[in-house]
Amino acid sequence: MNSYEARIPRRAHTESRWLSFVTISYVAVIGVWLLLRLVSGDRLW
Amino acid sequence: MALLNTDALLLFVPLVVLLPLAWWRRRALLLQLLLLPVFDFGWLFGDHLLPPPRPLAFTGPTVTAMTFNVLWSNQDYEGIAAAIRAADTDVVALQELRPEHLPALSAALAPDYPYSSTLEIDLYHTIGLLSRFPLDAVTPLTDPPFERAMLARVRVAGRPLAVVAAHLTPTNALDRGPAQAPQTIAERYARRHQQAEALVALAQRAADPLVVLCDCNLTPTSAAYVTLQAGLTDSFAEAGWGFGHTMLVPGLDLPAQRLDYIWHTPGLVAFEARVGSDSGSDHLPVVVTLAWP
Repeated sequence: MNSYEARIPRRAHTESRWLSFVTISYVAVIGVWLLLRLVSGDRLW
Repeated sequence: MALLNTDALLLFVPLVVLLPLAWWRRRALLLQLLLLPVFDFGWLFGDHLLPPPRPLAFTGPTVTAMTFNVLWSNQDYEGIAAAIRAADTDVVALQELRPEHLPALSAALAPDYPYSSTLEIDLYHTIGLLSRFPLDAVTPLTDPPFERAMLARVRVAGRPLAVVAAHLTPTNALDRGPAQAPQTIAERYARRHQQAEALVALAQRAADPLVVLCDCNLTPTSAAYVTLQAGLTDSFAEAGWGFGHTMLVPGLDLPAQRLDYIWHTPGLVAFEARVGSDSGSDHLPVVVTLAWP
């Protein structure tokens, strides 16, 4: 296996971790916002 | 929190990228996590994506109305007059008129709108009402919390109708510099909320059916919108289809927020509502047809 081939799975792995990080962070933000709306009782929706 | 709620729709833009990426990468767990914002989006905005219900039968007369913030720097008054004529409504409320343009605009529209009234606030924020019906008892509503609003009465096929033209306080967070922005935002959100409460009080006191033609400077996901809903019905939510955005993103001409509304009291029903076409302003007009049930 040359060095280029070795980099491919590593790059895919890094991209996958970034996708997980960004998605989980995003869902966490939406989740906290949803929670705040529900507990604040500001009747927005 | 109030700012976040105001621009709630933007919080769902990342879904456009993350959902296809998670699908493409076959990440089942991420797809399951993304169901939370998908369901929240559906809860908040699902109604907008469905066609409006078929209107109930009505037997009374109808009236058409338009509200349009023409933008103080928009010098294309011929275009504005053409847009108003094209909408062909009975009553028109205009915001951000310039006093020096009023004579020309009135003259251009006089054949279609023989009755008009304006309320000059300053060089950039005159509001106006144009009507095919005689305007009676025109009353400026300039006492706090109002700044730019007026009330008039018309008769449509013998039925009395109260009409309010209003321009609620804009946020303009940087008016007093970046350092003052948080205080500016807090004050203007509070003032707008008071104006919403005052409009609801006006609607509840009104003996006749009432319409509010308004650049309300608030979005449907803001607290002041909920306050207005307590006493008034949003015609576009009732009879329109889609997000109904009326505020254009500068430079892109992309409608991104719904700030302009036609509200009405329970004595009326909206059975048609749409957003009008671009006429050189940063706002798009809203046009509705209302009927006495």
